[in-house]
Amino acid sequence: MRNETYLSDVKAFSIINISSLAAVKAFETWGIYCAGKAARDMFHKTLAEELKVSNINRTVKVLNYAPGPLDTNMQKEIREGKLVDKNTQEFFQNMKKENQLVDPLESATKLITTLLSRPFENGDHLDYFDL
Amino acid sequence: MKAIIITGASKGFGRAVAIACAKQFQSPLYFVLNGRDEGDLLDTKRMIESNRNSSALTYSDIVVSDLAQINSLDSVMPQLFDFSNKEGVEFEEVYFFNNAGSLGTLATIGSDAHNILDISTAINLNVTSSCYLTQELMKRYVCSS
Repeated sequence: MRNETYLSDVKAFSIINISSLAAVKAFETWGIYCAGKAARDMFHKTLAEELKVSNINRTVKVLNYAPGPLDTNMQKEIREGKLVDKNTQEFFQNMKKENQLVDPLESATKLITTLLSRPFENGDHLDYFDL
Repeated sequence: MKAIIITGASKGFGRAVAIACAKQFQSPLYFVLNGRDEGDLLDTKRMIESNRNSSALTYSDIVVSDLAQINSLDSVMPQLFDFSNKEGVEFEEVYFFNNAGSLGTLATIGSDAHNILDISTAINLNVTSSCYLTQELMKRYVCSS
């Protein structure tokens, strides 16, 4: 009851799952992470399917967004982890060295721009490099 | 006003999303920022203030909680999602950035480095809690009307 009263004016909901390339591509030594990211994507894709046939009278957008290889602490864990696959590690160490890792703010800006002005299919998996 | 809920907002991509929202959205914004570290969340809040679009007022609630702790998720839910309990505030749009996650243990399958506790903690954060948050948002605001 409370929610109906307070949010009666909300016209649109956007649910953005922060995904990863690891949701759609297997990386050696990333088993648990890849499995989790794939599961998360599929859950939100299911929501998008359900919304197609529901009679909910509000707009609900659902997007799975893979933000690219970001220059964050998580990336550092990959580059420096003792048991991480060496080829993957070298790949990202080079990217770091060559300044090719993606600036988180640049990726976030692309995401917000997409939400505001780019049409997408509900439940899509969009990657930073596709936009 | 737009409501913007971000999990994992104390650093990395979650923080960047908060700043990008502050820069790009025109209307007043009500942020709900979740993360594990209060000091880092307060830094994110300050960055929102200093980056905000000049026409957009911003308010930020801080929700300090480790979403991998699934037994306490139900008690966190009101803090994350009952933001609309504010007197006289009307929300026309809600954005939920389901962002919190961790790498967990990175090692080949079959390695001694894996153990049941680490696997379940990573799955709890990356999957269980992520799915449950979306489920609860839908239940509270979309499916209830």
